[in-house]
Amino acid sequence: MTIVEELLNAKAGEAVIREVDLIYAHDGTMPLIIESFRKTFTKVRKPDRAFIFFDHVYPAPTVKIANLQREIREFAREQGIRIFEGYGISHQVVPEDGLLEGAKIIIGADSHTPTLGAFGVFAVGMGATDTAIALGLGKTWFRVPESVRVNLEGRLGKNVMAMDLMLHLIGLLRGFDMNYKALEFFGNLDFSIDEKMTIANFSVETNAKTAILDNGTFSGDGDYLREITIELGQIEPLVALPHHPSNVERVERVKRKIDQVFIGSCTNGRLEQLRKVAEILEGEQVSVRTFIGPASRKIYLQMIKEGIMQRLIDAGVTLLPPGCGPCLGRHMGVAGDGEGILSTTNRNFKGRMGSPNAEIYLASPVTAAVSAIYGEITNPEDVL
Amino acid sequence: MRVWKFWDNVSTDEITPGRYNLTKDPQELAKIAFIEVRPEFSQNVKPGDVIVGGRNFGIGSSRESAALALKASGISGIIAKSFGRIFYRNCINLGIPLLIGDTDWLNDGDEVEVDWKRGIVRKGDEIRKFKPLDGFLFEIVESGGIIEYVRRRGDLCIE
Repeated sequence: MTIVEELLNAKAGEAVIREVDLIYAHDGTMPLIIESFRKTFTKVRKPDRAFIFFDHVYPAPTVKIANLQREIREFAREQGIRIFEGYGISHQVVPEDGLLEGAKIIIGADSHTPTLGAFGVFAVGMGATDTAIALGLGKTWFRVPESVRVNLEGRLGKNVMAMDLMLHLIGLLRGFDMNYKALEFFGNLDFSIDEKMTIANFSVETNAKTAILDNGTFSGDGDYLREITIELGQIEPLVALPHHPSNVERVERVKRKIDQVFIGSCTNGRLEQLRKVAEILEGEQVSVRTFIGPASRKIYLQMIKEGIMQRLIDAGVTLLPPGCGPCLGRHMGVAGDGEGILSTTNRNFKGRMGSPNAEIYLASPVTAAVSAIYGEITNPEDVL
Repeated sequence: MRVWKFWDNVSTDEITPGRYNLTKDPQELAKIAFIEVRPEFSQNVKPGDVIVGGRNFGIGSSRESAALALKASGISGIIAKSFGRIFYRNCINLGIPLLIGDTDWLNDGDEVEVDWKRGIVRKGDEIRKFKPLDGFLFEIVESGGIIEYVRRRGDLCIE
């Protein structure tokens, strides 16, 4: 069986109904969930297995948003659901605060919910009404996806990160339709959990329904649609050009002045990644506006303890509170017309981070950090 | 019914951009549909018009506001080569019929007649077959969405 078939206990292609072990949503998706929920339900089935995170636009920048957040608080109070305000990004806080314990099938009202696949669980993103149904009934339906198996071999080079691996993979999969299918990773998974979460997170951009990393308990002997073997040692620093994450090029071939760098998000805002950034920026000065936002409050605190914040501030970085930051173009560093943005996030769609006339480039935290120093997209292999 | 033709990989960020997507009111959402990439859409769309996409229509963010904005704009359904999977479920859940097939044959401004249940599209004298939603998925759409579908059955049924 594939990992997906083991976790869902069904064959690929079947439509099944499954109990959901954990449901979560955030300030961005919650208002429409409440709207759908109230049309037919009155009580959340398992309020202790549902969680709400304020991470997308928090603290509230406008009265309109503040009022939407009030409605969410009221709903949570009425239903006995816990809200995590200011803790950080849902996909980070769920495992960090032990909410994943015992959960095998998870849905989140956010497209990057498959980030949790790093822990060997089946986690998928859903829209508001699907989430409302799952809150009301405790279950949902799935079409069991076919899987593509990715075998990792060897080791990444010194200045190459999980983000580069994923840009490499999305480039390889160009022209192969991953829609409605799952990615399963096997082989040398000797990455920190921080980097494993990057792998699962960015898999979403291949259009995969979910991604799961082998945790050593799966057989992996199922019928795979396709097998891909990647020699990690051969991957070079990569960058995604506007306006799609699969528009991948080697960093050394891209010459582009940039106006803004953002390092953080559910893709690359974890401790190991930000430690690397601080090492690069120590004793240096950024030459363009550079925003760094840890994925969670716990990461933020650890960065203070390790002196990382001091080094970043000394290098001229502007620190953002834990959360999604400017990734979705609503606050804290919105892109202006014609600007070049280098970001460690997962989407560079037109208009994603602000002006539709801005150009968004995606790269690893290491590439973003060296580029912040030089003010243009820079190959870390040339300068580190 | 007029065809509104779109390109490959239309993301939900293009349908309802993050900066505008700050309401749950369907009529307000209808006004921001494609506000930056095709601002004339929301002004000129007529009830019953058809959105036609290429590959991966509706990829990206899970925001249901994208599907809700299109529903509120009065379109009768969406035809594409493929759909982003969350957007696909969101449309069905809101009662928007979908067809899958080769859309290169359809152009912006074409007048078409569509049988959403059987997957038949007529343009002038030409008739082509598309893959309609099958089984319980079309029943959800016929019910007007999954909320109504679940209410009528008293449970989530996929038989």
